[in-house]
Amino acid sequence: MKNIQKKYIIIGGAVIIVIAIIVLVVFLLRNNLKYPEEPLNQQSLSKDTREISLGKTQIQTTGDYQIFQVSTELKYSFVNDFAKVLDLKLSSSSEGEYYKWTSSRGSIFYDINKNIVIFELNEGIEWNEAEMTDTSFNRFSQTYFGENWKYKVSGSEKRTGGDTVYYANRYIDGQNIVEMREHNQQTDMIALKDGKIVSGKLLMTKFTPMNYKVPLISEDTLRNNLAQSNYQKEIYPQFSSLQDTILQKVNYLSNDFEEVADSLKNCTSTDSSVIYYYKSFDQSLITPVYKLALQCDISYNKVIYSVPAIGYVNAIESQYLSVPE
Amino acid sequence: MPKSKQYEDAMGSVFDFIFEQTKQKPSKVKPVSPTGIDGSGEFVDALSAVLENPLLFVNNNSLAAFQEAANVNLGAFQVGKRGTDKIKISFNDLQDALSNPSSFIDKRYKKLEDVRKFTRLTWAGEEMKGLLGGVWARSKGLDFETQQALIGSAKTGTEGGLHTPQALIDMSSRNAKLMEKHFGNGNKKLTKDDFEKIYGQGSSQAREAFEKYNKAFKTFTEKSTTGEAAFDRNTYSILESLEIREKALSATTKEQKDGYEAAANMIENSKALQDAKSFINSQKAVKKNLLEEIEQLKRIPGSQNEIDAKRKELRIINMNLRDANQFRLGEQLGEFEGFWSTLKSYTVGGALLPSIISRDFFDPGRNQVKWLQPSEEKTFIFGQEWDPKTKGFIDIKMKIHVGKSHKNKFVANVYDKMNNLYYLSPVTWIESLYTGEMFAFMAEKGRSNFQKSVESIISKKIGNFKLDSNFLESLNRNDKKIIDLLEGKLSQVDIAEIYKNFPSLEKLIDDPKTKKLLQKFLKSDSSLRDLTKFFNSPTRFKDKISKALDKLVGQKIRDKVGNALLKTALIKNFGSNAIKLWMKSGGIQLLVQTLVSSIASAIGLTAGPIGSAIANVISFVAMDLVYAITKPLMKGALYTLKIVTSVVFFVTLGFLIFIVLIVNPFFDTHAGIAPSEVKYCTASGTNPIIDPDNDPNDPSDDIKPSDLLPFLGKNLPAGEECLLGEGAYNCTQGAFGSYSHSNVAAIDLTGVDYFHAPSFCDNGSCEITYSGPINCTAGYAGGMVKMKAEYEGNTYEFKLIHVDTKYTVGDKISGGESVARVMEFSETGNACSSGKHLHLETSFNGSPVNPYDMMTSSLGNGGFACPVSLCP
Repeated sequence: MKNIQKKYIIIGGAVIIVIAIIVLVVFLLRNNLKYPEEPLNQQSLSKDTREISLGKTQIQTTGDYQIFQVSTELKYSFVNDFAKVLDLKLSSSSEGEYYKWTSSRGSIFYDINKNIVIFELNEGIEWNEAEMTDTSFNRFSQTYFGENWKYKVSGSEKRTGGDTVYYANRYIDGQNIVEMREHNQQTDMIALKDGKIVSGKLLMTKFTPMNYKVPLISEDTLRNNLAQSNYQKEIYPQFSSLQDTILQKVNYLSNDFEEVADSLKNCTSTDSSVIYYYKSFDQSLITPVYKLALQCDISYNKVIYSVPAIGYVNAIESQYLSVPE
Repeated sequence: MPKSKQYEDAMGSVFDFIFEQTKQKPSKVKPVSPTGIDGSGEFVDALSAVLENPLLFVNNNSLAAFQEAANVNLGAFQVGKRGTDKIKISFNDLQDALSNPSSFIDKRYKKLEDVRKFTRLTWAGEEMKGLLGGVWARSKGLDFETQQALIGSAKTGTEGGLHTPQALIDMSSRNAKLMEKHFGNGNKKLTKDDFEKIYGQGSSQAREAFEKYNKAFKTFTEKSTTGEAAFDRNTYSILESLEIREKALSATTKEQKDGYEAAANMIENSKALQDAKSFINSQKAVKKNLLEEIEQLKRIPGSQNEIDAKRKELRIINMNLRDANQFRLGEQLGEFEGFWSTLKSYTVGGALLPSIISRDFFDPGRNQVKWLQPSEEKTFIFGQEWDPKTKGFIDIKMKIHVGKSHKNKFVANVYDKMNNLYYLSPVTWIESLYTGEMFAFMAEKGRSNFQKSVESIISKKIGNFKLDSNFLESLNRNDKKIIDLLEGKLSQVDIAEIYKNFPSLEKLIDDPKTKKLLQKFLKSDSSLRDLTKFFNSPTRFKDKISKALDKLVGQKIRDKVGNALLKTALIKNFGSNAIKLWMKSGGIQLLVQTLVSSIASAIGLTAGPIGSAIANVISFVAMDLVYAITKPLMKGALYTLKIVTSVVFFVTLGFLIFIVLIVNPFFDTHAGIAPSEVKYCTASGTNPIIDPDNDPNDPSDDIKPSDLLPFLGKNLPAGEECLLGEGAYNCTQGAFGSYSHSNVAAIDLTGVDYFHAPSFCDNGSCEITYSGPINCTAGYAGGMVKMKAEYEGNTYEFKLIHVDTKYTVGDKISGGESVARVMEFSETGNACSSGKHLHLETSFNGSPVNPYDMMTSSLGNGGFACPVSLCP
């Protein structure tokens, strides 16, 4: 009898301890995020005066998004080691601006303004994969830059030189991606040719999660704000759609092309998503932004053409925002 | 006066006017203010604009059309089977090709790539059909050979199997095997009795099939026995269907038996599957007859067996219809894709009007909306010339655009009217100066009107009257005789001969009204033909030169590249058939696809529809490899041919002098006037124009190289540094340079990594005025940034292209800050350039200045003292 009692006591005690541990773990892991007490300094978005209409686009307005800090840590030592592996020597630099490694085998350019590395290799790096996937990008960043960054491949392009370029965006958390003002809004790109990596452009910036979260702006507020010309937004037209029309007639280097680009107006949104927008190394914070797929008008010789564009619009409630004038 | 007559006369006289006026010196050009223009249509406006100022005719399109006249083809290298799969080297390209063969070939291949991308889309439609056929066969439990037969039959359904030539090759091999099996010993394997056993005693099917079998035997004995060059669909279809019917006889289940019989029917009727629609219609007609026969048999007692046999046939017909509809779906999807793409570009792209003026609308390659395509080509014979080879006279012909024919008269009328727009395009008018096409079209119009008139007049008297079908086409040979006949100068024998050839002519001459019409028509037709012949002579002369030059230059390039490819081990091992076909049909594409097919079959990859589709994809990938191989060979060939082409250069120069003497005076007189539309976009680099206010009526501000203002800046503060950073830089192309700056006052600089803001920007005056991506026709070209900077009342403006920046419009820049980074070559993927460089333009106080001067001038002169090499 006593033995049985002892047994039950031990079992009961063990269960209590397990429950206590679970409670402790849950308590420690719970979301400690809070809304900022002071308005955040939003530095990444400019104020494009051209108007955007939301049209019938459904905007995500629920959910809080975490704020991240743009780390000021440079990856110089990793990039330098990368260069050594490839037998490239530091050939020039300017403090705070760039570093450049070159040799007959290729070149690496480390731009500090955006904290990106661009490399071109004549012989390439052996990479025994038929194509670059999310895992491939992760493996590359781990191998050469010591970072277990997660990526999402967004597309690829075959070039006339025979290489295939893969575009990817880095995940900032498990769910949301970072976008940059690039050709395909990518943060990273790697080109493969004949089973070798021959060139690439990689973002070296780390994003550190902060204890702050922000709610998204309401749709009505956004529609009202977009009607004001000085609301934080940027518009990037995608002129590739003009390759068979205007660009057949207009020299893209001439003033005529500028006039075409300047004529952009009547941008209407057709789709939206929430992303994190990274512009430069000195932006201190990276915050959620609405990315809008736009359809705009441009004109040439009195003919109106439709051109797709990407719009980035502030997604944060104004009370949490401090925008420099 | 009938409207069409007014129209023709108006068009003709406007052209005459243009022709005359452009011969005048600019000061003597007489503008015309046309009256009665209601401004209701764009073309009316365009026409009136031309009348008011004929010099405006000389715009980009028309000038390009004229320059094309002098652009002799030096040679062409066939890379694929399609006519467009060519690398062409023409005289205009010569300078480009010789000075930078690498880039020249890259550009040509890029263009081919675009064509191939488009081809892949249309190819997908064929593949879909093939896949459907294979999947259906598999679902019925039919064996592998039958599946392959159906796939091949569907994929080679389109004429010539244009999209899948390797399918044609597979079918050819199969055809050869079947013919060998049935006729290899010199006799037919099957008899008429055998056919009756297979198809049914006394049945019409047995009779028809036996006739086809006999024809196949005849084909075998008459044509080549290799089978590859002798693929005949009729032969193949009957032999393959017999194979499949044998399998039907030994099928284990009813469903399988029916499946084999249906497959055999489809193969036998495979020619009809070329147009699934007509096959469906024919099967529906057969079905209708069968149903009627069954109804009739029901009324006859004791005919149950016959009714059952008919119902069995009906079941097979229904199965065929279901399957043919599946094929039709594949076709329709492909058609819709092309249709939607074209319609989108015209409506969403807003390109309808420009496409009509540039004539792309009339090009079936570009306008894929069939019902919107108003034109078709017609051959017009306008004369005869002596051919020393045949020692006889041969017809001289040319292609003209005529309204597409349609059974609905209203639609045909609309097409006719829309086709006329082609001849309203200034491009056509200018081209007519060296092709004579306009005159040929006017003659064709005249013939059509004459035919309608006389047929109408005579039909009213004697009932249905039609002019002899060959009468109008033969006018270039017979018109003189007919005129002599009308003037009573012909002998009775000759008159009888003419009437024998053209019986309707007698009726025309008998009627005084039509006789008069005929006399008038013959006169005008003869003049228009003479005009066509005269204005077509430069084209004929150019063609002769082209052929001779092609032999000299083009053949050498083809031989060099072809021999290098043929030496590779891969081709040797799989060689003889592939090489034979390639030598015969030409085109690297065919060679590659043959190789891929052979290899794929050897490893069993083509077992099944999916494998077959994969093999096709592989062959496209293989083509990419071939392009990579042939590109450097082509470049090498160009380098080594420099000496040969120098000789060629002098020969073609002589031809150009001829063209210049005959035709150029029209345009020489315009060089001094320089309306703003005139831009020389080819590699001539002469007389480019910048029109700051973009006003063609105000040439006072137009800028030519000689007018580019000298840079006269004012003292900049000491300590101002070179905006390009430390180092020395190369100028690789100067303002109005011959490569891509022909109308741009810009310089290209290499060795630059960053462009910086002047130090004086600390005064807060420097601002970004533009920042965004930029594209050339080949792709992404990086970013463009513009910056304005003011110092002591002077405004500097900088425009940078192929750069990356973190700044956007309105951002202020501090002194010395890097405004933009020059992009590495891999970032833009050589779409618009052949290496990393900064494209720089500058203005000073609102006027463009030579950027070289601004960058290199001393601080004391307002420049930035950058060490830059002289521009070429």
